[in-house]
Parts: sequence; C-alpha cells; structure tokens
Amino acid sequence: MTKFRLNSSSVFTLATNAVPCPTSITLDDAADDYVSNCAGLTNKAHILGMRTVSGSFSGEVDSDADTELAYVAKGVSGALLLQPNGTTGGDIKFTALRMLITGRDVAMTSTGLTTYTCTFVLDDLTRTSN
Amino acid sequence: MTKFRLSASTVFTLDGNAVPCATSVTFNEVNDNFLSMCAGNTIKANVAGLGNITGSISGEVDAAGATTMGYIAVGTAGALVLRPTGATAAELDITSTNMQITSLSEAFSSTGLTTYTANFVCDDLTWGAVPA
Repeated sequence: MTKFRLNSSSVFTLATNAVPCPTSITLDDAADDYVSNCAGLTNKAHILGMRTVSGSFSGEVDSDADTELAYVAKGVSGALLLQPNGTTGGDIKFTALRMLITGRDVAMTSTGLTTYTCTFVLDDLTRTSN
Repeated sequence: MTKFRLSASTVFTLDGNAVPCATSVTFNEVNDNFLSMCAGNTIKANVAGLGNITGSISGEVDAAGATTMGYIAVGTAGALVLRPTGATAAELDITSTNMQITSLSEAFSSTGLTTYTANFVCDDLTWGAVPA
C-alpha cells in the first residue's frame, strides 16, 4: 500500500489544459438525504436521493500566467482528468465528462506568494485506475 | 480496565468489505427532544422522540485505491461491523444492520497525504461484545 501526495507526476487537466500549479484539490460527493419520521420507528430512517458533486482547488500564480489563468477562469468547462499520483498502471484516476468552474478568487499580498482558489461542479465523476 | 485506540487489530467492514485505511471513526446518536411547557410545570418537561444515528470516517487514500475507495462510495449500504480492538472475546463489537454512506470527500495536497472523509447514517446501532 502506497500513500501519496500531489507531486511532479500528478496529472490534472480541464478541457485538456493543465491546471496551473495546483497545491491542493478537494472532491466532494454528497447525496440528498430524506429522513423518515414514522411513529413506528425507533430510529429515523434515511432514504438517499440525487448526488451533488463539487469541489475546489488552489494553486500558485505565475507572474506571466495570463494564458494559464484563463484555463481556470470562471465559466470554463470541459472534461476533467485527475491522476493524482501520475500515470502508473493501477494507480487511481478520476474523470468527469464535464467540470464547470463556478468561481475563482485570486489573492495577492506583500507577505506571501500570489495564489488562486477555484470552486467547481461536476455533472458526473468516475473513479477508476490507470 | 484497558483503554484502546484504533490499531492493526481493528476490524472495520461495511457490507463485508474492509473500510480502507481508516484513521478515525465518529458515531453521533441523538434523540429528538420535545419540551412540554404546560403552565402547571415548574420546570419544562422533556419527552424523547425518534433517534437519529450518524457519523463520519476519515482515512488515507492509497495510490492504487480505486477498488477500495469504491467500498465507501456515496450510496454504498450494508451491515456495519466495527471491532475496534479486534476479535478477542468480550471486546467491543459495534454493529448495524444498515449503514449508508451519504457523502465522500477526498483531499489531495502537495504538502500532505491524500485523505478522505465519509459521512454515514445508520438505521440502528448495537454496542455489543465479541462472543466467546
């Protein structure tokens, strides 16, 4: 069993363009939860509904990165490919037919590197192996 | 009296499959509480309602973990077995006839291990002991 972090082998593209200098990524997959309160129960029963798949990623901004920043602009959409540990056969891979950037914050400061954070939603999410 | 932590002896399965590389598990059991405020009371009276059982699991993601992460995908449901100190007779044996994963978040970082957090609900929860 090999634990891992994002590294130089990581592949992270949106609409085939490399997401610039990512430092963290979060994927959130949650189902609607409908609760039954029938008097005959001891504990409430839960019936799951549709899922919502969303997430965020953060990264660092290059001083000449106007082209790369456009790859993750608000409204950009396309296929997601995430191979967090690279392309080695058997390693984990995430894909989505459509990922849509819903928001982006860029933070500049005199006491740290310039960074960005994007939020996104997915129409679907597949977890498989290379 | 022996205190314990999750360890290499821990047994933790959902629907017969081992929960991958768990680092923490939390159970939350709460009853609805209804207050009676009859004028004749000095203190409000409490009436317990239905229970609700929820919880969360955190763990680490393996580089080759596509199959094992599928064991805790959203919507996965089945019997829970948690023996936090293993299968020694009389040790804690926590079971549920139906546990459902309601959400799964995975976090990747260049400065830390890849981790996950799964939230779940249970139809029931029994705190028993491993039989002899």
